[in-house]
Amino acid sequence: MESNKEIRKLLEVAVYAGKLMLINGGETYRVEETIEWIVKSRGVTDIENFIVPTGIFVSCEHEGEQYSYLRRIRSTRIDLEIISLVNAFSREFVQSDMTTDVAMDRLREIEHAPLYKWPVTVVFGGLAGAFFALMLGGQWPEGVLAFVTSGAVVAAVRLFQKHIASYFIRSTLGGAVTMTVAYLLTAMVSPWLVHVRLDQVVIGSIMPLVPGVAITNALRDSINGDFVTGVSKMTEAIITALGIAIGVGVILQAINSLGGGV
Amino acid sequence: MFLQAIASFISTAGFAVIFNIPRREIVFSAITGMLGWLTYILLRNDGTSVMIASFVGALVVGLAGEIMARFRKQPGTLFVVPGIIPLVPGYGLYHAMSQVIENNYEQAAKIGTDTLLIAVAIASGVIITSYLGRILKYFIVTRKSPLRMKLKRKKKVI
Repeated sequence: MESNKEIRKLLEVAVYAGKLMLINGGETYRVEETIEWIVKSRGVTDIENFIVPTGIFVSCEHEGEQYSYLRRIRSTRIDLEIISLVNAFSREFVQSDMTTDVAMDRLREIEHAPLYKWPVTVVFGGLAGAFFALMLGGQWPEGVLAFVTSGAVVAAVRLFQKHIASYFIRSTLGGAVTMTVAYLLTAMVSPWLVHVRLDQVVIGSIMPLVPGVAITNALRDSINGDFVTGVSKMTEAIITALGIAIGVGVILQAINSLGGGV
Repeated sequence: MFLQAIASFISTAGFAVIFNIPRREIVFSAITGMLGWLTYILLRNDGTSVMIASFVGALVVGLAGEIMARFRKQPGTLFVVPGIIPLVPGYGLYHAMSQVIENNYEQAAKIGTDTLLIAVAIASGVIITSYLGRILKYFIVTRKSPLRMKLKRKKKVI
């Protein structure tokens, strides 16, 4: 590693890999380690990085020159495939003599790794909601309704993720969709089946929306000593839950004021 | 109990797909989630508190996740994130917020605190196992490993 340009490129690769991990739900310490490994593997030993969910800051020193790199990060979601791919990439990069240009191409490819086809996601999302309703004490008919509802919710969330930037609006709309579909299905079915509880249907099918993993990860980061990350993720989780509650609440109000008691 | 096992297996698999897990790892993450939930349910049936049951459940998930991670050569997150899904108090957080909207602040504070404590229990369970995994890795990674050779200047591995 001689020229300044090469070191700048190396930093770019490291930060790009870190960014891919961070926006797809990687833990803070894993992102830090990945960036450190990539930079140190090419002989630059003096490196510091600071990772928060909204940005990556890296600076390093080599032969008396200071380099720094900053990247703002906005959206976060969970995509385990990309985490797995970036992890494999960083191992390979550290152990081989891959050039930075090849590395950038590899990372760009990883960024566009495909999602599951949407019917697959909808069916599995439906199954997740249905069996959650059963786990939490629902009966079979409620499980079937939760299957349909949470399939619809997962499809809606996937659609919103493409078109709506604000996570708060997304969760509000998600909550509204859940309540609407669950109420309509329950109202249609209840004349024939004696006992379908709307609560149980909602509990199961709201599971793909609620930020359970987010709040647990927030506390994981706080316990690990990454307090800024912890507080920031916690705030996101609370506001997401608030958004869902608002969406559900508005629909409930509307149903009540239209006279359709639950 | 059999129903609980099947239900937690399938719903963990469903969440794994929502999280876009690589296709080959779906079954392994579902097994992780099932083990955690069965531990939780068994402890709950014996009258253990929710906190302790969640903590031990998360320990089991973390342990299973670390073992799967070594066995499948993948980062542990792939198995731990879907694995804790049956345990995490996402519904509690939502419930607390809906109480806030309805002006039931006392209920909201109670449910919210419970949720927070359960999340702390799960998080600490997962962290303890992930540190165990790292300590083991530190002792197992030998001097011959190329990764170690490259990183020999780095003093702190854990």
